[in-house]
Amino acid sequence: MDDLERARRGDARAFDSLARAHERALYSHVARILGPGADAEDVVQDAFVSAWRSMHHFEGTSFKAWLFRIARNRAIDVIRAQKRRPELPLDPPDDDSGDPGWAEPAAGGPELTDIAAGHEARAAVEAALALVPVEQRDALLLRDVEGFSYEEIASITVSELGTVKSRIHRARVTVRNELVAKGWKGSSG
Amino acid sequence: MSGMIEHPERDLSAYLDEALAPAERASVAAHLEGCARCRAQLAELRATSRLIGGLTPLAPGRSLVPRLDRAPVWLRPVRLLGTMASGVFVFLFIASAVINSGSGLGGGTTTAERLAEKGQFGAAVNALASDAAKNVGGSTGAPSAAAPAAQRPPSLDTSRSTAASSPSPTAVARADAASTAAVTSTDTSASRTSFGPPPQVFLGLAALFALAAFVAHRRLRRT
Repeated sequence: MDDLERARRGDARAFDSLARAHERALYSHVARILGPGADAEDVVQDAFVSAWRSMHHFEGTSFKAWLFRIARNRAIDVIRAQKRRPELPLDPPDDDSGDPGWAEPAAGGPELTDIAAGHEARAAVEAALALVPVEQRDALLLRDVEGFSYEEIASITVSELGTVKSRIHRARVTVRNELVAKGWKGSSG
Repeated sequence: MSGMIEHPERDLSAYLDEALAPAERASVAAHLEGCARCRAQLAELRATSRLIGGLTPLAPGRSLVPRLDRAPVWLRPVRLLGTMASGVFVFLFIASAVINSGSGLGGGTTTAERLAEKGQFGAAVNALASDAAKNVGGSTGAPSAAAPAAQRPPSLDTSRSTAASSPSPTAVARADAASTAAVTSTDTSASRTSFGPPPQVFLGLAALFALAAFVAHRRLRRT
């Protein structure tokens, strides 16, 4: 019997083992939605407690996806409760008016495709991500960082598959445009 | 001519992530074969995706996995019953202590009763007979018939002692009555001492149940 089955039957140690395996990824994701700090930590901790209490209801196959769904929903609830970031609409329109467009790079600067994942690049990407609308960022991180499939992301975010597809694309283009705006040259330029 | 071409820009990320249906994927692939612009965009999207995927995970400042030692379901009843049982035993302790102290300090315990409590029934009988004889002697002025008997070994019975000393009939009758009273008194005293276990037992049980309730409470508070 694996940890998941034991946890489902009420084994606290098995759940503890599962939770620790996902703790950092979960915090990292929530922290990129809410911002690092106490709010993100509280959300993750609450998500663990909530998951433990409803563990016997869990019938899916991906514990990780279920955990991310709980934590992500709590993070979104926190943002909705705060409403302090009007510059980042929670639900951007899904029509063409929400498309970021494809910014042309300025002359000079390194090729975007040649950027090494150094400290400077990571900081630039983090800064660019912070400018992406929350739900787009959420979907993009679930895909690019956590490796969830579009179907899993649709389940986690309780969204249509088409919405997920649109959010991920827009978020990627926004990040790319932000990087280009900082001097990196797109290979198309 | 190129203005009429519809670039599948919005499908490029899904194409990159292999999230398109087979027919859509084939269509985009066919377009990419002949469109340098879309190929360049696809390359940039891939590079962006890799950059995001290569981000260092953020670390929390503290452990976020709470203690999840879920308390067993029987712990709440244990806490409740432990508390109640502790209260009951405290009550029994107090009641037992009051009753026992009442039998020991109430003035009704004579030398005979104390001897009887110790199991020295013969001596108790003699002591009571002696007391009775003193009382009789004090009131009638007759010589005490029971006094010598009280100094005899406990094995000697009262009838023999009274016969040997040849007291007056009145004194003998009163001494016999006193003997009977002594036996009755001894029985009463014995029944008092047999009232349940000693108070300390109740106190110990109360402490034990209180400890169980406290431990259960602490465990429940942690979860």
